Amino acid sequence: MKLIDLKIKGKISFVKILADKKIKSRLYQLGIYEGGKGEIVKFSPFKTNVLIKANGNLIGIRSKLAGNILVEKI
Amino acid sequence: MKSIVLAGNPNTGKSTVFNMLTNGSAKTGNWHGVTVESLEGLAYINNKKIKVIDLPGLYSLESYSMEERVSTDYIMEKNYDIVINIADANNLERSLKITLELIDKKIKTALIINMYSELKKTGGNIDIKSLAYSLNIPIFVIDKLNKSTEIKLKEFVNKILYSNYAIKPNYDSLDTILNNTYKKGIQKEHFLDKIFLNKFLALPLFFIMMAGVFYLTFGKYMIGEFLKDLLENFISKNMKVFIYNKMQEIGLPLFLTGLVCDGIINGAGVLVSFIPQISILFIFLTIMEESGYISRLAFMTDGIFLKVGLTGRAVFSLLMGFGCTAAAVLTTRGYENKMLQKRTIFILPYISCSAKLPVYSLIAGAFFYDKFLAIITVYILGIIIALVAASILKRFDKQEEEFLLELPPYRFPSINKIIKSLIFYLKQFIIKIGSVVLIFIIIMWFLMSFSLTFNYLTIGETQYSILAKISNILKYMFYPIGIKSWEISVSMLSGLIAKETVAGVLSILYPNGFEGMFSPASGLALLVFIMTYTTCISTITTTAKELNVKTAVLLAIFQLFSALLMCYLTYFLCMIILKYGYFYLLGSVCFIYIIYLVITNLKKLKCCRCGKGCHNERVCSKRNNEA
Repeated sequence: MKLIDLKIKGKISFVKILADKKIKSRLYQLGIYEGGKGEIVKFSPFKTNVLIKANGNLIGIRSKLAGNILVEKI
Repeated sequence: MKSIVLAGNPNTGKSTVFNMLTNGSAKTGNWHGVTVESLEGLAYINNKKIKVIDLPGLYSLESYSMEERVSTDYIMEKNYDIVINIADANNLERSLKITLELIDKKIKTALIINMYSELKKTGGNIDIKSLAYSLNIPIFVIDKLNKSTEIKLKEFVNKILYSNYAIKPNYDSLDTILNNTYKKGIQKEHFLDKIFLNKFLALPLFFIMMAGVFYLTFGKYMIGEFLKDLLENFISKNMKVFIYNKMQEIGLPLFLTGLVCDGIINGAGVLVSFIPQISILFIFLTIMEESGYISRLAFMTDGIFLKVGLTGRAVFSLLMGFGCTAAAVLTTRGYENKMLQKRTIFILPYISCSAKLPVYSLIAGAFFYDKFLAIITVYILGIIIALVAASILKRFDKQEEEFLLELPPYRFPSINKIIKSLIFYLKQFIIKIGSVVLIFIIIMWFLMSFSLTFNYLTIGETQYSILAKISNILKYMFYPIGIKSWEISVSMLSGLIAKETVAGVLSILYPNGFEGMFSPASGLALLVFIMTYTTCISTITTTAKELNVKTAVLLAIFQLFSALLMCYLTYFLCMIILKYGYFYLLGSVCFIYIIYLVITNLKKLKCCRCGKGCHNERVCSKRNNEA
């Protein structure tokens, strides 16, 4: 399931990240990596962005990128 | 001279440590990317001079963004004695990645763990001795930011600089090191996030806060206006009369009295009276920066900015733009995409910097009954023009940048920090008035007070002055908006040096004010011109540094002509409203819009083959091919 398709807040695990090396590396530095766990905290107005908590960090991601992150609900 | 380099993740307090060591005033803030270029300062420890270099934040030595490359290049290529990695105690695992990378490269490294008290508050802990043993490097912990910490920090720096300890590669993984030494705190959602990240409240709250601050600054009987009037009265009446009398007593020549009283006090002195209003705006901006609120705002507004071809990160630049446009231009350095950086730099001049505040105040005070409403309208209009300009620029270039932003924890700025930043800012403001602005005002006063035959002119004879003779041609600049005076044109053009100069020159050219000299429509058009015309020379220089000289010069010329056009348009619209009423204007706008719709639909009928409303042949054939 794509991260952006989730409708409610809750805990998730990151299954696959479909992004280029640079973005993947930045996501990794912020605590978002395949096999890692996180939590959806908030959506911005019109769901243009999603706020994720991973490894204690709050990370804002645009919906386009969130559509490239495959997750599973825990 | 020994030198130390401060490196680490963004927003871990590197600039704070830099300021503690050097007693400097490097810009700090609770958001990622405050420092965009390396800063150098001198620390005096035990009577020894030590060079301290503060680098922009980086996540890894394998760089990602422009500012990270600055840091990596410095660490890998320059000469220094030691790298001090500044780590955030709340996010030690991420901070230590750089420490391990530095150790692996056998670079002499030490570690400073910052924000330790925050970690303890959330129930976390670090076994410092074990961590120092595992990493085999010296560690210093910053618990509280006070004088005693500053002394201990300097002792630590002195000790590590002059001790020879061998850097041994670490064979333990980061997880193993942390498992034995680090307990992460549990961070709960802050109650403020329920408000600032609420999709219905976030934006209205921001506008209410902004309006509140502007009301406090410019509202009638509010503290900003009250203090400004008090200071203005003191400078332009009490002080001026006192100095005038003293100079008369001594028997100094008339032109010297004129220079001091009409030139320096009227021009530069009056600018000082705006300090209370500038301070209120600055304090508000500092609180927003230091608290972590701006990052929340960037997250909530990214969707809006995306629509106009920007990213939520533009919030940092736009808000900095309310302080200083040149500083705001520098904040765009963190952009990975050069085109996006260019677009942001192009729209920044429409955000009114604090230097324009005295000019707005002077003009709005002369032409409008409610100064607060007039000024807030100008500020809002500036934001609207910036967004419209961004969306026009998007049509030429559609490149985007991924929005990936870490939201820092809330940190309430200490009063001490706010006062320190304010003093530093005001010092800069006063230095600017006392140097560039003052010199320019003196030159202007000289040109205005002497005729071509160098006869001293009295008030009312300025039409014979050197300035009048050389600037006569400029009076046509504002003819279309009903202003037929060269004085206004000269004042406006003086803003190219620094925007504060405009208010200073206006004050010496119009010592008795210019109330009633032009119509409010001309006043409004003039405000629009000031808001949109060419930025000061320091912003042009910064833009040239960030982009290139040609772009910066072309942009400056474009800003001047587009501002004139917008100024004429404002006057024209005001005239329509005054003559025919709002209804006529609304009708005209509707009529133009209908014509626009008809033209675009005709284009669609002509080119669209797929029936999906393509606007041109190319898009249409691309869609057909894809289908």
